[in-house]
Amino acid sequence: MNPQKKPSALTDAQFLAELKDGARGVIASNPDRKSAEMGLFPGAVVTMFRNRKNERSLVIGAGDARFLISRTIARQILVSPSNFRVQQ
Amino acid sequence: MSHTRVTCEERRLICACKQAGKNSASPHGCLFSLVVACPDTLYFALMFTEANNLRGGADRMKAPLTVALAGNPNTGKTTLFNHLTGARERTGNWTGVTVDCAQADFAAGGRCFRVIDLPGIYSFTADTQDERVARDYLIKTPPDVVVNILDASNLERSLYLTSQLLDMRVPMVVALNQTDIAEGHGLSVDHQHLSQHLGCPVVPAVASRRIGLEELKAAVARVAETRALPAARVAFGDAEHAVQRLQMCLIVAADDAAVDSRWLAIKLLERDPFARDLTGNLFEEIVSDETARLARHSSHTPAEAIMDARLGFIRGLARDVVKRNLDIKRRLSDIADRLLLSRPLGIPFFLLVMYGVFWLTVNLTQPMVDFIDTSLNLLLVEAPRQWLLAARMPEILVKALADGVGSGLTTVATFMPPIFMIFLCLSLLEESGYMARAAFIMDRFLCHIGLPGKAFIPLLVGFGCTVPALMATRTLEQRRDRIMTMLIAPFMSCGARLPIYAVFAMAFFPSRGGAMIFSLYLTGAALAILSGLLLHRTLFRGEVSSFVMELPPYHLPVLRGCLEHVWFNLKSFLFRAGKLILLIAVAVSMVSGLFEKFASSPETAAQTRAATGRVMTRAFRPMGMSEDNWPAAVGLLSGLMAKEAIVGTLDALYAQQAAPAEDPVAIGSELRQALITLASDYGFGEERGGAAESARSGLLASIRQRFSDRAAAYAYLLFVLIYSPCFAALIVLGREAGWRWMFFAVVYQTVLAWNAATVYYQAAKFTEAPARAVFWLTAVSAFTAAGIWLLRLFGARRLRTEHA
Repeated sequence: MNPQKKPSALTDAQFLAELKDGARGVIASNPDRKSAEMGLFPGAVVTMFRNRKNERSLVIGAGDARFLISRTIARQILVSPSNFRVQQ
Repeated sequence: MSHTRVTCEERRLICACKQAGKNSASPHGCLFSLVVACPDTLYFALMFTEANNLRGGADRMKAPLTVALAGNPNTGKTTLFNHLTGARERTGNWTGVTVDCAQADFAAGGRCFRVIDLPGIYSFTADTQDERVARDYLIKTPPDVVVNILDASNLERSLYLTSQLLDMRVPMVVALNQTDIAEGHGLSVDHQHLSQHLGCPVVPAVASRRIGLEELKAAVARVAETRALPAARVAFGDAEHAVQRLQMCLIVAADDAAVDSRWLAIKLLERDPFARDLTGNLFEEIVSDETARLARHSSHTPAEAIMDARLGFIRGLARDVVKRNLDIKRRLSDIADRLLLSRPLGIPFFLLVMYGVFWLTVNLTQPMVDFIDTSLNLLLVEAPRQWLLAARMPEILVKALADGVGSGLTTVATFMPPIFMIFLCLSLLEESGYMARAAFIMDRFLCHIGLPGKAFIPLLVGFGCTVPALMATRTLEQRRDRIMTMLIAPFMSCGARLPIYAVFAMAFFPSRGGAMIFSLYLTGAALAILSGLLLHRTLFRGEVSSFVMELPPYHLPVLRGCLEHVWFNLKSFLFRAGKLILLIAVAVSMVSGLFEKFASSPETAAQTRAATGRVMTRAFRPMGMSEDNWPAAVGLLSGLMAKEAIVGTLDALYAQQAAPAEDPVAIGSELRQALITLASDYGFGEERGGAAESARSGLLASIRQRFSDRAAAYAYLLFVLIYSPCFAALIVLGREAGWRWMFFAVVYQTVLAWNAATVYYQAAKFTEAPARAVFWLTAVSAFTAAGIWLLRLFGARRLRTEHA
């Protein structure tokens, strides 16, 4: 599936699949209904836990939940930078 | 509303309505139409409604009040269910589905409540079987009250389901569970404020520590008595006007279908196929109008506008009631994940866990299976046969009871230990949270054949026994993935085939027996991968399902919960597949009994059997089976009943002992021997001697004599490895995937088995008879090409049907 085009208004936004390990963002838009129903809706804070180019799925955190999400879906979800602090 | 019995008044009403030209399926829809058409009937109609209410009220006083538990997975729903009811569970019989819902009773305030534990779901959109089961239950048998379990540590996500329940307009109580975990994460939820917003009781609880259960019971009793609906409803912003207009149009249809009209309007605007079926596609035009209108105003589809408004509602609600006191922290589970999902540590750990599963399911249970097989065979087959023969019962009755019921029960019982163990392992893996991680690890390998990582477990179990392997596919969410896994799992060579390999290894490959057997196992696994690739590219073409799966935090599994899960699946096997296995065993024994009865003498029966075998060998000639080796062909037939029966059949037929042994079996001593064997297998007592091997020397000589050479023997073993699974596995396959897929599996595997065995034999004999080899190899290639073409054709048709 082709990744959706980034809206011009969201210049700082990037796709969830582009987040590096440990990076954090706020979901700006998510056209995938199933993942939105499971908690990955606009406004949710997401953290990337594992993103390897050769793996089909990514491990992310959304709030207090952790998800396995396939790359095809992560390429549709737009995230904007988050101001949250990360406690290691 | 009760539609169970149509009274005289109702019947007269329907007749009157029909005369007025207003046909309607139910008394209620008919009533509405009638009152609109002829106001004179209003008095009569009111009487009917009152009578119906009274009848419903009286029924309600007698019957237990139903309470459905609905919530996301991992919100402690089942724990709550067990503690509410004391886990006096009764299995619900949900026809046609494999997702099971538990139900049990509890008493509160002098009333009995029946609690139904619906599957854990994220929404009622019905993308998965779990969601369909939950939605169908709430629509078709509306409960008196729905307890919506929210995870206080993940409130926003849990509220999505709540917002859909609000649309459905069902009496509702909210259980705010896992408040202790939320506090640990620095979250506090104001339950009173949430209750005000939702307009229904909200009870904070910690189900695992039985906190808040009494309050929850009291709230459930209150709402169930009054059937009070929640006051809140979601306003759908841009789509609100469309919802309201459609709602007005379908009041009668909603009443007919006994659902809320607003819910039906929302679902129709979301283009939900179930809602379209409910209304018989009558409102398509209005839905299209409203969709076009909305597109003009907001460039959104109704589904998008509804989703946006719903998410807005949830966010607003969560912002109001949740206070975060700490920043989000990395948890212990995250640290464990960093190690267990990494390649250097993750893969060895995964292999270790899988070895453990295999060892527990196959190695540990095998002696138990052998013991059950021997002892039940003595107690349920041999003993009744002796008693019935002594009592001079008709032969056909002896056959039906001993060979039918007795051996059928024995077959079912032998599957119990591995099924018990595999479900124990599966539920331990699920409960501990490792299953989702294992799925991640295997995903990178299995994605090439279009299967999710979780499919690895059924495939692994397939090396033990195909029946529990097929049952284990229940953990896969997508039906496509389940069917594909079920079709390739039988290629994993099951334990019952091992004795056949062992006998042939002793006969033909005495020095390299181990390598020969290993090569068969490898061939099976390779064929599973090739079949996966083939099916993925032909019959199950289309994009690999993209997925989102929650990784639950690691925790220690509760053994009791796991055992309940195991018991549930064991019962399911017994009642769904066990019954059929028994029936077929009885039918087969009756047919064989009748065959022997109507044959003029035992010799004639044996001759007929030999003739049938000889006819069969014609089909197997290209794979090196000569006509005088007909017992091998008959062995394949008996292998359809159970693979381990092949050795027994060969033994009996080669030794010309077609009739069962006439010597009475000493049941007591045989049982004692079985017990000694069981003890020695588990490491108590002395090792067994090689008596079995010496007893088989006659069989080995016959096999060497009948099979022309090693090539023919190996080709035969290849056929045994690949051809149709045994009938117990086929029944489970039919029950789980549907009978069409069962027939497909039989044809696909048998054709593939014939092809593989023929290719092997002809390639091995290439130098001896090149012309014949070229002919058969070309024929097989053409046959295979035609098969692939057919699969592609069916795949394209399936794709078209799905798109349609």
